Amino acid sequence: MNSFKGGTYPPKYKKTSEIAIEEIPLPKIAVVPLLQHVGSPSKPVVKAGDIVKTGQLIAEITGLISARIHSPISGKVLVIEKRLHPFGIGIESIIIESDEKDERVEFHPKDITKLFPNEIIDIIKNTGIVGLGGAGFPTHTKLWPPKDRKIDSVILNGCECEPYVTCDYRVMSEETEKVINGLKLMMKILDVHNGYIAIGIKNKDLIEKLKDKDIKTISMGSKYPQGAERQLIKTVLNRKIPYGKLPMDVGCIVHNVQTAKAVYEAVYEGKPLYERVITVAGSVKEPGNYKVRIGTPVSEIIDYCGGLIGDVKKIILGGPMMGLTQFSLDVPVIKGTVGIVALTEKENKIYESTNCIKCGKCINACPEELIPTAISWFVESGKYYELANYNPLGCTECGSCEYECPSKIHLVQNIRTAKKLMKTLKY
Amino acid sequence: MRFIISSSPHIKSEETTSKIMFSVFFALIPAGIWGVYKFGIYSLFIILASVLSCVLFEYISQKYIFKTKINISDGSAVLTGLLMAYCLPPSIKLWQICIGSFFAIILSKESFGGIGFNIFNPALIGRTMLWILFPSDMLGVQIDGITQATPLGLLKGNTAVQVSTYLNLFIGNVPGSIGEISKLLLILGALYLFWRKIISWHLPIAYILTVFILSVIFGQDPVLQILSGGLILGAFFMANDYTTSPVFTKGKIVFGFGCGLLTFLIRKFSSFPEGVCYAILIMNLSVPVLDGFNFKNEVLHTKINIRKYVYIFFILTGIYLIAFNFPACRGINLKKSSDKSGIFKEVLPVASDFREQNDCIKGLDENKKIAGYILKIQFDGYSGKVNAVVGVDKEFKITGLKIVEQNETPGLGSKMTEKDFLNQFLGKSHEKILLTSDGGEIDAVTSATVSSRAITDAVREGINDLKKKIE
Repeated sequence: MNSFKGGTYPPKYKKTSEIAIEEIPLPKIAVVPLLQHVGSPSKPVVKAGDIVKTGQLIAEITGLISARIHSPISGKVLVIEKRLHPFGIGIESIIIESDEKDERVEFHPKDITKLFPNEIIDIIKNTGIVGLGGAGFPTHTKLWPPKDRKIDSVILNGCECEPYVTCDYRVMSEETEKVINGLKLMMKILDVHNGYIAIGIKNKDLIEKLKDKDIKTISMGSKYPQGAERQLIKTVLNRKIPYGKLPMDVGCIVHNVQTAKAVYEAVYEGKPLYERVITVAGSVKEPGNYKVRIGTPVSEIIDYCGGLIGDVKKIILGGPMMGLTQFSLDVPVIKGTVGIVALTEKENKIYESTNCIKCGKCINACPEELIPTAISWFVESGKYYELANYNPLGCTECGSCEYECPSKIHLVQNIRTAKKLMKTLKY
Repeated sequence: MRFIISSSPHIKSEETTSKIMFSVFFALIPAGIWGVYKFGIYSLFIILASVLSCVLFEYISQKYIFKTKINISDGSAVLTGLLMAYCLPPSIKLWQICIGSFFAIILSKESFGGIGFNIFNPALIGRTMLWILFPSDMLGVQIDGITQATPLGLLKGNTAVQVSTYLNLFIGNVPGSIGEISKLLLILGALYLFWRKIISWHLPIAYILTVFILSVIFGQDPVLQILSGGLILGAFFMANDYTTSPVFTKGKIVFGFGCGLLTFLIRKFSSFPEGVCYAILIMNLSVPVLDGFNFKNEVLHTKINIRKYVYIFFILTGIYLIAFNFPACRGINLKKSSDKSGIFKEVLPVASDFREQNDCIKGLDENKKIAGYILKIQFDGYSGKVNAVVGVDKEFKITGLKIVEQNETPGLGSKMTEKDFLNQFLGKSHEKILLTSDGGEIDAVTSATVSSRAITDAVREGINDLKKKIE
């Protein structure tokens, strides 16, 4: 099988992979940020005091790249104000108090056979679906590539190369039909005949289950970052995306498996995106895979899981390789949250960084063939004019280099600084 | 509850700099134990002195001279000390080691900015300084012993000698520096490091392969070249040092190739008996070019074309070889003795006249009777042919032995001409002219066993032939 260059092998910790998805009770108060996707923030269409139902539109698209937001619960809009967002900053959010009835708006499924691709895309756009793998790129934009790009393959990404995270694997095992049909819908929209599902955890039963005459199921190696778009395409199709290009430039589109499931539910059931499956793992009493409403505060989820155990030092939204640390448990789950990982000091050793010994481990680990230690050194030593020669903008921040570094240099942090410097100083 | 905020990734591998350093340290320990077993407890003191003085100098320099953060616990000074001790002979004095450590740690490493910034391998700098400052103490044994001499026994196809020589070299039943003699244990240590994924195979294999191929091309014994001297220690543990070798695989291969080439050239042509140490130090200088970048010291970004670099290497080698083969360029010929009969008289004092007859020189006494014979022998010395004159009396006992012409280096080769060694031959009949290790009575020059064997064999065979001819 093809593989990508570089990468590393962090421990997997996927103990939750065989724990079935469990639904978490509705939150008492849902905090729905107006920015849950890549692009411009949405504009609220409700105001304080309004009564909303589950699945009702509460924020509308603004600009070219944006997504609609729907109410995750039924109840009353308390206020629209700045609240803490997983990005660590305050972002305008709609605060909804639950009436605990969970009244839903009426969903209107349509006869799929009579729909044109652009009508299906409209449904996806109206139901506010964004990529559920983490980044949150609006799905309808991705499914409507410019005319001059010839798309020939769709890949569903079920790799989950991040340690701890198992939610996509559970969705594939439990809602196989929805995932497959969601993929078929995407293939129909794009008029392509090559559909692939890439799975990370090797499981014969799952591969058997996912068997379909139109779709190829590929079991991936355990290398990190296998689930990164560029590396996934290199592995599945053996196509290398040049720096600065997108997957559609090589005729390919990648979606997360949960996105495919959401597309299926939107089109066949008329259900907007207001809930998702996340993994709660690490030092919590009952780790597992949970179906949660968007906007549920992390503290309520952790309470439902029996609370934290031990001296937890870090709460991470997402996986431990690329996730964001939180200083408060009041942050809500957003569309792009794949998991909550609680790490104690033992699992998350804090090292002091020392001099680079030029071992070359970061260079060998970088999937984008950069020289992380050089970029890091130029940032630390203030030689910003050198940065342009080492292409820091090519970094996907996967963290392989820093994981491998024996000197424990903060490579990713320095490269992020380099990226910002490149953009602001225009070297 | 308070949580830590940090940049991703939040998990990191268990590998740390000090773990890597101590893994290399442990990989080297068995070879050191063998060295102590072979050379006695004093070599353990040498190792301890070297390690302790390196750590001490690192501490002093970090605390008082350069005033940086003290990080002696990262194990790099310990490793430098160990490696330096491993390429020192057991004849070195303990206070001299401290001077070597000073150069290794303070001048070669800390003054460049500490771990990761040095451009030369500190252990080899320390060793080189000791070689320059105390040549007589270092002469006892060398990192690179006796490689060039092809024993006559081997040339004559005496395979029994061959196999045992290889085996002794491989296991470490030879004189040499403390840590370099047991190739077996060194290779086992290197295999451990491969398994731990600390070193890559590219550089050492390119190094060893280059020496092998060049030995075949230039008619040397390739296995002997590889197993003798400090090649294995140098290739796996010194050339392959992280900081002073290229980071990219291509660069590593060219680096290994360059080291092999220089080692071979130094061994074969230069007046230095050892190649490994200087080859690695010279190649250390090429690291920024081979990497194509040098982000630590001065800015250099050349998209270096590795192939061009290799061509340049070949051209320089060609020039070097041609230059060396012009007689005018070869300098070291010792003065030829024009007065041949003077030498004859020296090795056969009882004779007063010499007459050449039927390919053999007879020494006649005052009564014109045969007093003995003069025998001219030639054998492969350390760096080229060596001519010697042997005088034997009527009973074929040796009355004198003199080296008349040699290209030998001031180091090893000249040791062979020392009286202590040559006087052992006097008065012995040819049956007993064998090295003590081969069951005879001649003690080999330390570290020059193969050369010693060459001269012993040449003398014995020569007398044997003469005896047959006369009878």
